[in-house]
Amino acid sequence: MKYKLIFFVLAALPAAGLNAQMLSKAHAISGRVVSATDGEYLGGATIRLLKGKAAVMAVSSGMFTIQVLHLPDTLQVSHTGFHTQLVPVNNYAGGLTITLQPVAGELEPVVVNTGYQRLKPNEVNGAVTVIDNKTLAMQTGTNILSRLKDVTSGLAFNEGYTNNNIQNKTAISIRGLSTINGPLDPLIVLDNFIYEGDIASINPADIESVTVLKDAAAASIWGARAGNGVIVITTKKGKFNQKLQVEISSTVTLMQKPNLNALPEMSVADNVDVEQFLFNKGYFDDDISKGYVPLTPAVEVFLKAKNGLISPADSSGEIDALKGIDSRSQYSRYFYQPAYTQQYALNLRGGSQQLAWLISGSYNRDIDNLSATYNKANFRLSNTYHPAKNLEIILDAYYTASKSVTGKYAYNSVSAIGGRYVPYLRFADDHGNPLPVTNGVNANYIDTAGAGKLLNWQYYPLEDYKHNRGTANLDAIIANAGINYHLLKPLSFSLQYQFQQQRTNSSYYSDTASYHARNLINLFSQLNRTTGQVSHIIPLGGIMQHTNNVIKSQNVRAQLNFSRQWGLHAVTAIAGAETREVAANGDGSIFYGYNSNPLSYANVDFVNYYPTFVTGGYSLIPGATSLSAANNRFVSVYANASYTLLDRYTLSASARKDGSNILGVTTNDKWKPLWSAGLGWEVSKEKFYSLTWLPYLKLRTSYGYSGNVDLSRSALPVAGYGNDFITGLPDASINTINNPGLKWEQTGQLNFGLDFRTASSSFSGSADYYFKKGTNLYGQTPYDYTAWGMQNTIIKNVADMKGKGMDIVLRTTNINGRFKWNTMLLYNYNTSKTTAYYDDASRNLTSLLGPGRNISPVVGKPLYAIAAYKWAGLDKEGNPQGYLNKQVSTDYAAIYDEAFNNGLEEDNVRYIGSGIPTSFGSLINTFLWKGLELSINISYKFGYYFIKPSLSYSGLVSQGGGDKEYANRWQKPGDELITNVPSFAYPVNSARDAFYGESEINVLRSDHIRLQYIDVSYSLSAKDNSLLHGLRVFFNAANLGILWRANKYNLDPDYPGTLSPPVSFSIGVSANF
Amino acid sequence: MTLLSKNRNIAWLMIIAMVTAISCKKYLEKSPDARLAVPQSVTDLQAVLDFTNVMNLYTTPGIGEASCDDYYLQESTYSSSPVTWQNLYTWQLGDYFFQNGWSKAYNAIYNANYCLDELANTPPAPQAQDARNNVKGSALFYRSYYFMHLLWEFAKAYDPASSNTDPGIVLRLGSDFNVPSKRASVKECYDRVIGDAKLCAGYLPEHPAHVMRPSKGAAWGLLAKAYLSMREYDSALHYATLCLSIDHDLIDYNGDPDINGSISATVPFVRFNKEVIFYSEMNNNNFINSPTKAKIDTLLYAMYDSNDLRKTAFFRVYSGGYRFKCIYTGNISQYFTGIATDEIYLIKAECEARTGKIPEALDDLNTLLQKRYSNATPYVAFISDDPATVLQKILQERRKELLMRGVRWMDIKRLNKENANITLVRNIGGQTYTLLPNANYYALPLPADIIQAAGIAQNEK
Repeated sequence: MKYKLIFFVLAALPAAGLNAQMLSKAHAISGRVVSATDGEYLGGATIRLLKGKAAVMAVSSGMFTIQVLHLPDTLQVSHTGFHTQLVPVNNYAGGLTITLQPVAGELEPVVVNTGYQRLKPNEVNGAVTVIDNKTLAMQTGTNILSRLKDVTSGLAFNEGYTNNNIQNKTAISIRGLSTINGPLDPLIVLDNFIYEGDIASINPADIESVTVLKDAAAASIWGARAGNGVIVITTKKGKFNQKLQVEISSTVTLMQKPNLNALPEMSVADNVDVEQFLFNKGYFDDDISKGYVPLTPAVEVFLKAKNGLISPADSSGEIDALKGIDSRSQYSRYFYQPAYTQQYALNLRGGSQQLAWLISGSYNRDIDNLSATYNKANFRLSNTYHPAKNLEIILDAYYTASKSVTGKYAYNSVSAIGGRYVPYLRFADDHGNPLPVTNGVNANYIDTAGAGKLLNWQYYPLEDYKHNRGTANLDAIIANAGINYHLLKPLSFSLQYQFQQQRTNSSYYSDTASYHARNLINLFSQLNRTTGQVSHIIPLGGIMQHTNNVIKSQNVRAQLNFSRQWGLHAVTAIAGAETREVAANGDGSIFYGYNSNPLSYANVDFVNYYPTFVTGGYSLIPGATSLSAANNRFVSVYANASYTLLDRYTLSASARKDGSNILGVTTNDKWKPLWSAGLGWEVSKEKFYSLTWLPYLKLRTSYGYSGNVDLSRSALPVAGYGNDFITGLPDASINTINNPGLKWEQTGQLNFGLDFRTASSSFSGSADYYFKKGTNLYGQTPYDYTAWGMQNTIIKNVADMKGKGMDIVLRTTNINGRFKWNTMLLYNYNTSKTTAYYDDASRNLTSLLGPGRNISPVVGKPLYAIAAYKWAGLDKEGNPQGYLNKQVSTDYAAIYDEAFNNGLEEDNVRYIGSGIPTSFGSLINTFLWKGLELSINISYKFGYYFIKPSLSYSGLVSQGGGDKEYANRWQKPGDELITNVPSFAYPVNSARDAFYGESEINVLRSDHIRLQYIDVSYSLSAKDNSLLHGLRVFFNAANLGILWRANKYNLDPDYPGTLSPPVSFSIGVSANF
Repeated sequence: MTLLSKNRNIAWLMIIAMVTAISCKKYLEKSPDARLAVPQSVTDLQAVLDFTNVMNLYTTPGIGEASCDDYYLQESTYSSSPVTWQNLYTWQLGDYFFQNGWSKAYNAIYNANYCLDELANTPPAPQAQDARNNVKGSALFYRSYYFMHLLWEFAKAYDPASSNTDPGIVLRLGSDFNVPSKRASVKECYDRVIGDAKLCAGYLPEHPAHVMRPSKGAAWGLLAKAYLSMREYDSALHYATLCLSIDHDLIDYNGDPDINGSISATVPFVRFNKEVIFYSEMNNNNFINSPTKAKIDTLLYAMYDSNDLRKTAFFRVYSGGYRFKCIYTGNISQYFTGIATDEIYLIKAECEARTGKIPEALDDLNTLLQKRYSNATPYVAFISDDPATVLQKILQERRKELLMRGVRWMDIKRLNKENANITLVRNIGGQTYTLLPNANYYALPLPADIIQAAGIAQNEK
């Protein structure tokens, strides 16, 4: 409420300074502004009378009309990206053509595409970032969104932060969080419509620019789904009056093999010693007595030695041999390789008076570290016709076909024997021949079971991947058709239709030789021990699983556009309506006894339980068929208008209302639009403005609302069907009750912005400060359970949060001569906290114990936050100590209880801080000398914490493996003075492990600086008459590692306990003809 | 100018089109996920009522039974129990929270209300009239049944003098959770219980597919129980008689196919045996009187004659006392609270005795007891012509037959209204606690989180 007030006061300020200026009825001069290079019409150019002091702006066709009181006068024509030109006028004339020369080295003028409108940056009061083609080319990832990383103000990649919602796919957050339980992804828009297909299908080579809409004024036009910000992706288009242009490019990227030895694993010898210890304690006796349970190789040796089958000397020899093996080097040697990506693109474009066209094709080929392949081809056609003066017809089609095939086995995917991690596996003998590895069934059991009547039950990881092949074929089409009809000068009407279809066809084929097929067939084999007859419940042959998914969406939008300038006034307005339907259908099936040549399969019984071979337990044959169908419908109306006066005051407003079948009836029925308003003031255009060193200064402010909708929620009651376990009658369990009041989450945002540029553009930039307030967020809340009784909390639109932050962009030209040095600094600050939440966990610091990588709403704390137990060191027996009743204690369960009962009080638990960066950004330095350009991106993240991986003895005992700090554990009295790693106490106490792992000594500052990429390119400047217009050769190195970090353990705070993304190198060439 | 106004018209047309689209409700009523099964058809609704986890199992409130005098706790059991349940034992129950008997009963009531709401939206189909009737009758029965059990627990005994003002329970009659809860008077509540029970009998079959489902006999049994608790003995007699006209089988404890081998077995009877008319279980969230902890009151145990087979069938020695074997549930740790023929015989006998029909009362009592006493020596029928003696005997047999069946708490309340002057006493932890007849505490406290969330009045202490 407070913010709203500030906003309206600010909005009123410039209005007070206005002088009503009357238009005189003097004669006018009219004409058109065009670009000197390609004759493109320069809408938005400013035409100013030097004597008469009047000014107008050219409309989108470049046309302008200006009233001139006294002749002669001079027109000052300016446009961003072009040299300002002075045109003396001596008589009243029409049809003047003013040609502007582009500023050398500057790019084509930036266009802000909101998905509904294309605007000049000065027409926008909201916070918007446009990433142009050149910046996108600085990174070589095949995913368009990944190229936004570290070059986009206000945008963060939160990789590794897990949140259990299938709608969270991008890991991108724009200006921090706006929701607690809702979807976290920003809205992705491709060519004016929401894109819900696979983002990997879009080829970056086809993209002209990406516009990021950050605040409410920019995003609220997207209404109930814009709460997380909007990323508008615009594809390349042909232009009218353009000569044929051909652009080809090729890029090859090489990514290093991951260094598995960098993983913080305890040593193989220590692992084997722990197994020995556990074996002696009888830990494996249960498993051993069953006979069929798989045992690790070391335990097999201990068992043989115990049973007297081998001598103690042989035993220790075998154990030493095992200690000499390291699974990591086995994986690295046999499974991993450097990854390669090849990207090729060709695009042709041109245009006449009537037609602007583009044809492009591209091909990508990836081979990843595990030899999995991904091939993709894109084909695109884009045509704009201008058949009549008032009419424009747009026809676009974008087709993608891709295929991915699985590769070898990833680290750790085969090393679990009987659920136990084995760090000393061998996949091949000294001659490279595949060796078997124990998998689901005990190795000795395999030798005797089934009296030779079953299929071979050995598992050879080195061979097996060849017999398991997952394939995913995707084909997608996006087709656009639209017309623009200019009804009368200021008014045009557009009708757009978009059809998207994405079909994915996945299969997973385990052939007859695969372990998966052999194992299942054996498990479901019935052996008659007297006759020796084997009957196969699962027929011999391969196993083929199929899944098909189709997403279809249809959008229709009708929009009226109004754009008019008269004298000192300019109005741009749109109003429209759209409907959208997304239908997703899927099916899955599995075929046993599958053979591809001749194509055949056998029927199996999915209904009845069969005894399985090893345990005799009854089991169903896995995987019957599945079907799914989902459908989302939206109906929306919207309007957006901006009014500019004197080319310096811009007032804008928008409103939008959405109805949807996922919202409650009462929400759909209410007319409650999401709205925004904004105000821009180009101070530097005021007469009183006299700072010559700062020729451009603009202030902006905006306030408004956008929404966030969880597509997986329903306002309807939902039941699960089954058969009653007692009566056998069909029954239905109502798991979610009807909530006719279900509505979208709402985010209000207040933004203050400032844009500036010094003389000769040596220093420019922008700064935005914003406040966000999320209300009506989905949240668990207690309710009067007399109404239902199944649960004491339900999810309603009840939670609130607040956020604030700033986005700063500074650009400097440090050296400007034949040698140029430019710097861009991005700085972002963002914090958020839960302000209203109603379940018990939200009033308890114990909810924040742990890595802080899940959203955990605790009132007054950031959404990702870390709390930790206070630490009182190790005691004289190596036990970790905390506090209980302010006394040092090792009663871990009681310590937790005290912490839990204390709620938000910091007694034996301490609140540490945010789990995600609160300050982050990057520094990009670019050096230019002739055609040579060097760009270095250094990114930084500050103001957050992480938990360092630590040793869990319960994990070590039950699953094997642990952190390398095992070597530093407490072993003898006195060690407590030199280490914090607790002693190995057996039997293990999981509460002790949890206490140690979540105590403050394991929480570290995450702050660090990373060398993100270095890009070197050489451009051959165009020679007018040559066939070749331009040639660019480049080299790029990315993920070059951490330059500085706050922690002393050499850990990558964003990837604790896992591997940092490997370094990648790209070389490429692009040419224009 | 005309062109401009034409464009204005287009603009208006568009706005109208938008508004029409917005109000195009049908378009937005499509279910977003075809697998989000929204129960709507009569078959679906029957399935909702057949979900026994919500409709029958652990559903009737249990803190009343935990407040009764049929059991006692050993000191060690008491002292190791949470304070909340210690207080329950000593009639000082304070704040307690979800999950509880209130929530379990209202969960079943929600399902019933949901079905009744949806049924109103589903057009009748002639070929499915029986199914529709069964859903309607069942939903009314369940709602009435759980309303009654909630009343017995959370309201004072029915007293015509004060029932108009005594606070009853929340009569939720629809499935929209946005409707606020308020407590109706005891009279309104009983009117609803009786009215719905009478209505549902007309829709229900005599023989249900399973005793987890309501039937005509169950409806009449429910009416008999309700009227008895209101001390309207003529009506109770009427419906008990109707009920027994359909369901009247008794297990002969001397030998019966429904006995699991022997009555001395841990689980003496099969679960859905011939005596069960409608099956429900007690909510077990107040485990203070769970069968392993609750030791049967020694005076009560002493009331069973040595040739009374119930002594063997009901009890066994367990850690220094006698524990109840939880007959009828087929599960040694769950209490049966449904409607069974033995209870209906006892209601009928009591009402007959109270209305001067002594021979009939003796006849019904002896019919039951003959199946309970050993026939090693021939059964000697109980005979008396003194109405008070007969009533006393019937009430004693009622207590012996129906212990841990969810009726004793209500019996104490109503009998005290008949001046039985039953004072409950517990000696534990070196202290003596008493609960005087007609104390306010007989209307047990509501869950604390309900008082907070719903803003309804707590019962007086």
